[in-house]
Amino acid sequence: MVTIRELKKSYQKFRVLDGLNMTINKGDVYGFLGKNGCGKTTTMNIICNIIPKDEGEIILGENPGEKIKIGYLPETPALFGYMNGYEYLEYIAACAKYKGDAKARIAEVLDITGMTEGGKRRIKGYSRGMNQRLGIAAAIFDNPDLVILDEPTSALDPEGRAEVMTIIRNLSATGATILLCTHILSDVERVANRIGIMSGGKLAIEDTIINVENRFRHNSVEISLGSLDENVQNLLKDADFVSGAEFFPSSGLAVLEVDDPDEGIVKTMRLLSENNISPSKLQVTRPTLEQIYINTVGDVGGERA
Amino acid sequence: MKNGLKKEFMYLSRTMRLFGVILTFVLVALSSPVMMKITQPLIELADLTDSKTGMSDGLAEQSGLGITVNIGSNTYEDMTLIEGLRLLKNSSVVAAMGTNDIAGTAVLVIMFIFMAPCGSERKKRSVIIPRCAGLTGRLYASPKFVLYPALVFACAFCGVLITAGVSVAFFGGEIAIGNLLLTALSVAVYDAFVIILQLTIGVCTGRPGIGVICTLIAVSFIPQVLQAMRVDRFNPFALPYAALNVLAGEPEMLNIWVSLGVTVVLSVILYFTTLFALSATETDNSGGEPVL
Repeated sequence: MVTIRELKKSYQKFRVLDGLNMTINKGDVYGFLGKNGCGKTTTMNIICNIIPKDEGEIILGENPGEKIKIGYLPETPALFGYMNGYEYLEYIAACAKYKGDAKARIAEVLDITGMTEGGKRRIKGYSRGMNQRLGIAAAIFDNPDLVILDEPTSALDPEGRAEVMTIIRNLSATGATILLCTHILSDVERVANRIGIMSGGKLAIEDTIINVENRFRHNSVEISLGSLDENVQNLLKDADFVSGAEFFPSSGLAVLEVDDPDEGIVKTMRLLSENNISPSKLQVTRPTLEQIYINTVGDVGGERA
Repeated sequence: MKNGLKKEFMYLSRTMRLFGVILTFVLVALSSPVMMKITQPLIELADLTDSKTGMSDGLAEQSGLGITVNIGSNTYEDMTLIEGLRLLKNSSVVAAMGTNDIAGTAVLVIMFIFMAPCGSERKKRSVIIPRCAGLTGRLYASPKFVLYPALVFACAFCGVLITAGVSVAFFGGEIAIGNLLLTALSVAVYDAFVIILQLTIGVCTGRPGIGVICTLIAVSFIPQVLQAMRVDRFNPFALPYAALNVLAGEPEMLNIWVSLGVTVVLSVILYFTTLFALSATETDNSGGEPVL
């Protein structure tokens, strides 16, 4: 759906994008992650033709030169406060030269975004969540091939976040391709099938979430024991299937590095059982997206772009 | 276009700007006649007609015996003031003052009322979603170039008629309807042109403040520059002065019609300049060629 090759963009002397390569497949919910100021919004603005690129190639659709419909929700959607939601979507329909029954489509997108009632009110009086939802309604109005959502859940309360996530999931179920940029990694884990993590003006990681998690899997077994004395530590450390071990006696936690986590957990259980030690918890640890993200880009923070 | 006009009209009416514009023109149109009417007692007081000769001090009258000059007790300064005040009882003069205000004060206020639609939408980035949906520069700018100048034109035209009508009602006398309509047309076209200039600068730069400042500078200094260069005829800025001459019964028809024509042509050029500037900022990043 979108192929980006060697995309470069600078603001004065500051290079934001430095040879970005990125692929968004049809039907993807692509989680676009990275530090503030790393160039995510710049990339989205370039895809949407809001700002010009410096260098590189962007192929939209299957063939070079093909035009696709893009719906874009900016981070802080500035809507026309003097209109109500319905009138705003009427204006969007006119801008898009919508060929179908515009009124029916307006009712449909208002329903999808849970704005059927809110659509009758003036936008000026909307909460941030309502603004976001109307922005999403506008972004998806013309059945775009690609929906780009820039931090759609930022500054929303948990309920609002959950609602927006539900909307994204529903959109995804209809086969829409979605580029989702957010700092809330749990949101990405909930809805995305692929992620790209930006660092240094390019993608440091781009793959399916499952592959990324597998790639960053620590291959470790975590054991919680009532007591973690020196004998137990030595027993675990010296086991032939353990390549490394870390102990936290105060909490009774032992983390064993193993080559194969599935085999490792069986062997650990057997070893503990043979020595009459009963663990309160035994599990293969899986890295969270947050851990992967932090490992990839370092500490969260920095400037915005 | 129809939806664009609807959007702009919604903006004008729901943000009360429409009423602000109408109110401004009505108040400015009424201000001169009403002020003069209020100061009428002062004028009456100054109308010191000599009871013996039936003549005002300092006035001369030609008779069969020669010229009789009434030498009063007033000084030269007093007489100048008195003559000035007497003029203010003339409905044409009062209407001219009101017309001048419509071409000056009113349009200045309107520039500030229109500051937001002339550029702040681009500054606030509120056109991003419509633009992604397919809004083009032409569809964005055209309704503005139709509605705002048309509103200002209509209000200014009516404003001149109001100020002239009230002046005649208060002070009597007559203003030739043909002259009045030509005056109203000139001032209305001038006011609309000023708003078009502001729209062009504001929309092109996306900075409403710059639009107002540049327009103010243009309105204030260009006429002076043109006057210094002795080319102060046949241009938009000549219209308010030409309009006053028309009201005074001394129309320079060639100057007025050519200036009107030049103003219309310049307005069209400004419109296309805006479209060109907007299309130049439209980007197409698809493909391999860099767009710089």
